[in-house]
Order: sequence, then structure tokens, then C-alpha cells
Amino acid sequence: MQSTTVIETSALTKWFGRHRGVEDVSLRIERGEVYGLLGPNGAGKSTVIRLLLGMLRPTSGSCSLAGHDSWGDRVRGHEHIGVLPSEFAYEDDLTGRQVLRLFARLRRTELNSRADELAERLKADLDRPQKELSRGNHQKIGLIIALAHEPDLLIMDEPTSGLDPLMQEEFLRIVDEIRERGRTVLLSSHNMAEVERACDRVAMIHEGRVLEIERVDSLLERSPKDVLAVFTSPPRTEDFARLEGVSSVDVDGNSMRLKVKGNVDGVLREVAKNETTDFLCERPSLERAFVELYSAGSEVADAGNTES
Amino acid sequence: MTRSILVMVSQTLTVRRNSLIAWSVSLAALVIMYVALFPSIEKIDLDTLLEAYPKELLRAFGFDESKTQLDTAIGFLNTELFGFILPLAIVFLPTLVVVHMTSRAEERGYLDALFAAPIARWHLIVAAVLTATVALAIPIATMIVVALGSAQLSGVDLTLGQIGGSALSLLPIGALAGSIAALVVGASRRHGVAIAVAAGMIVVFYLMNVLAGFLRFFDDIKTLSIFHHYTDWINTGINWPSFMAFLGVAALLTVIGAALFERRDVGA
Repeated sequence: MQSTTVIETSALTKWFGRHRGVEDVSLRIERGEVYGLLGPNGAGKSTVIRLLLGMLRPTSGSCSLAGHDSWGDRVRGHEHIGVLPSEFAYEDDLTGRQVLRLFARLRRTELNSRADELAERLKADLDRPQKELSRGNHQKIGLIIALAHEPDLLIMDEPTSGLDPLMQEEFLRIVDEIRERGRTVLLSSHNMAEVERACDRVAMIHEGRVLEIERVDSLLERSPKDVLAVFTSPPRTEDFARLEGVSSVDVDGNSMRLKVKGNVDGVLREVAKNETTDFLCERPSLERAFVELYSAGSEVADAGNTES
Repeated sequence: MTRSILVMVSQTLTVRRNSLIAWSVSLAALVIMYVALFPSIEKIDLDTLLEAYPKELLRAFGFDESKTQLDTAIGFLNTELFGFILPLAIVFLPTLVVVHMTSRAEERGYLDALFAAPIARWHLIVAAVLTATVALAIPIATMIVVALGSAQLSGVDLTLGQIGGSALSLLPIGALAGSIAALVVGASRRHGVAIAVAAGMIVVFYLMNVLAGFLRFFDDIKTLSIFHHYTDWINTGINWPSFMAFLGVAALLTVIGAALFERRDVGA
């Protein structure tokens, strides 16, 4: 039976001299998944991607693309992948079209209609030398190169950096289409909204280590909702604090802020017992989940540092 | 395999065409100037003057010690151009081409994009040295054509065999410089180091040959210097075994550079 694991890393570790890049990263990404590496700048997302692409040699552990070892068999592993580096750049004197043609030739293909279609959708200027283009337009050329040959696996490092909001939206539509075709995507980002919208699963990375691997919908379910209720008189804190799922109650005059995990039915019933002038319930966000996990991760790391 | 190498070679030659034209025009202008100068120099008895100099010094600067030959066009060109200026100038062209395609590209982030395609790293090193060799051949061929043309116009006696032999003798020097750059690139991502080491090594080889006339130590090891052989090639004709041996050394350094490049981290 053919394996459905497209990307696999096992205890992957990379040190740059005395500086840790990533440590003990184990991931398994299945065919058809859109997978996000989430973390702030410097967390190690790009290092994981560069190790997967065979640009860096692991200090220990291993990683593979489509069953091919990323270091020892990297050329075969790259035959069916599309890659967008974090800041795409290639020969600034060439126009976008010349660069696209060159990369098509390196892949033994011709510049196809898919490239033109993508250029139109992303509003990419392919006829000016790249040195005259903005960072966002460079990135568009990189995206077209990564996508034009219809790869089975797409690896993108901060794909929307430099793109304006309209193009970010177009990019997310393209990712949706790729998912519908059953292809696999790995993307790194520090843009929570983008990851939340695009990804099925995420690995949260903190100081080179994986804090958590979870489905995006599960993370959202686990995260508390922010509830704001404004009454005509100050509410009784204890009436809300005892409700199931309420993790914090903050009263300020007639206003009350709650954090509620899971069902808000009990809160609604309690609010309804009071005369209310305003009510707001915000859906949980990946950003909140990330901040909570990240804070916990930092505390663990700080504790570890103190002990050592 | 060969396709990706050829694609990279042709693409770099296209990107660097203005630089190649500039090199070709500059060297051609130099050749035209010296060929045009020869008829007036020919009337001066420089050979008698030069015979007063120590033979070691003459040989160090590319003169045939048995006969300075400034009374012939090729002797004059070998002395003034091929003996000193051209071999030291020409090393920069292949070195810069190799560095442009490898460590300079790495510093600019180009290799992140390039190696996303299914290309072995050693392909890039081989492509860089091949491009450097072709890039070197273009101004060399231009010099030969221009020298013959200007000799014809100036009524100077210069044959294809004479100028072709001297110009072709530059090829192993350039190939050696390019392959030293490739070797350094294999181990270091800093383009300045590759340029400094390649150019520095060629200068060391040159000095080894110059000092061989004065110091016993350098005289014992002068055969290791490509300039010792180069001086013979331009004065008495190319010795093909030694010519090919230096091209072989360049190929070997390229292979070692490629092997090192396969094993090191690339990029940021």
C-alpha cells in the first residue's frame, strides 16, 4: 500500500555552532493536508523548511519529502514539489517572464497557460525587470514559479509577506483550490488569521521546539470565547463565576467581560436575568490559542532555564 | 543532468553579456593599440637594450632569454601584453563568473529559489566553471580576430598560429583561477573570500616564477607555477601535455569544490 505521509521529520535537530536552530522536531504531514508552521520570527519555522528542502544538513534526526531523504536524496524529492522561499529573489536584471521561462526549462517543461492564469489572478507584472518591482511583486513571481507546474506538494515560507490584503485573499483562494485537488501544502507564517483560514493542522513552534501539534478546529474549540455584557446596573460577579466553562470574570462598573470555553448557553441565560443594554460574543481565534500556548511555553522554558 | 547544466550556462552568459562585451572590447582595444604601436617600436633596437638586462629578470617577465624577439610582432605582443598584463587581468573574468553564479547568488538568496528545482548542487559548480571557461574563450577569440585584423591593416607580420598560440595559452590560467574560486565556494559562502583566494593564488604562482630567477628555493619549485609553463608556451609554442595537465588540475579542483558544496549548508 502506498504511504500517505508526504513529509516526515523525526527528532530533527539543527545547531548553528552554539546557537540552536531547531531541536527534536517530529512532524508527520499526510497527503491532502494544508499544514501550518506557526510561530513568531526567529522561532525556527524557516529552519525546519530549509532542512526539509535539503539546504541545511541536520545536526541529528532526519527528514524526508515524499519518502526521499531531504539531505541524501534531495534532487528526487524536489521533482514534484513547488517551493516559495521567504523572500523570493532571482537575477534582478531579468523580467518575471524570463525567470519563469528559466525555471520551466530547469524542470524540463515549457512556460504553460497555468503561469499566465496565475499571473493574471495575482496581477503580477511579468514584463518589467525585477529590480524595478516591489517586494510584493517579487513574491508574486515566486508564487507563480512554485505553482505553475502543478506540484503534488507545495512548501511556502511566509507566502503572503509583502502581498496586499486583496492579493492575500486571492492567495488563500488558490490554497483552497489546491486543497480541493487533494494536494498537500506546508506553509509557515506568523499571520494567525492566514493560518486559521488556510490550514487544517498546525505545529506551533517556540524557540526551536514544537509546543503543540493540533487540528485548527480543535485548537479553536479549546480556546475561550470573549464575552462582553453591559447591564443597566453592576452585575453580581459570583452569579457568572460559578457557571460551567467560565474561566474569568472581570467587572468594571456596569460592564462585564468573561472568558468562556465551550457552550455559552448558561452565560446567556444568566445575562438574560439582568436588564442588558449590550452583548457581544467573539468567536475564539487561533491568535488567542497561540498566545496562551506560547505564554505557557515561555513559562516552561523560563522554568527550565532557572533550574539549569 | 546535462540539460540543467546547459540551461544554467546559457542563462548566465545571457545575463552577463554586457560584462563579456566590455571585457572583449577592452582587451581588443589593448591588442589593437599594441599592434598599431609595433611598426614604430620595430625601428628602435630594443633587443640590444634588453640584452643588457639579467637573463633571469628577462625570463621572469616573459622574455625568451635566448632571444628577446622584440623585432617581431608576436615577440613584442608576448613581451608587452601576454607576458604580464593579460595573464594577471584575465584571472578576474572566470573568478567573477564563478562567484556570481555561486556564493554571490547564495548571499542574494538566489540559491533558495534555484535549488527548489530538482538540481544537484554539483551541477551548479560544474555549470559555473563551464560558464567561466566559455566566458574566457569569448574575449580570447575576439583578441585573436582583432589582432589579425589590425595586423593586416597596419601591415604587421602576424600569423594565426602565432597569436592563436599566445591567446590560447591564457585559457589554462583562467580555468585554474575559476576552479580555485569553485574550490573555495565549495567550502565558504563568502564571495569575497573566493575572489581573494583565486586572485591571490594566481599572483603567488606569478611571483613564484618571477622569484625563481633570484632565489634558489623558488627555482626548485618553479615547475609548480603555471607561469613557468605559460612563459614557455607563449615563447616556444604550446606544450600540449603540460597545457592539458593544468586543465586537468582545474577539473580536479572543480570536482573537489563540487563535492564540498554538496556537503555544506547553503543559504542563510
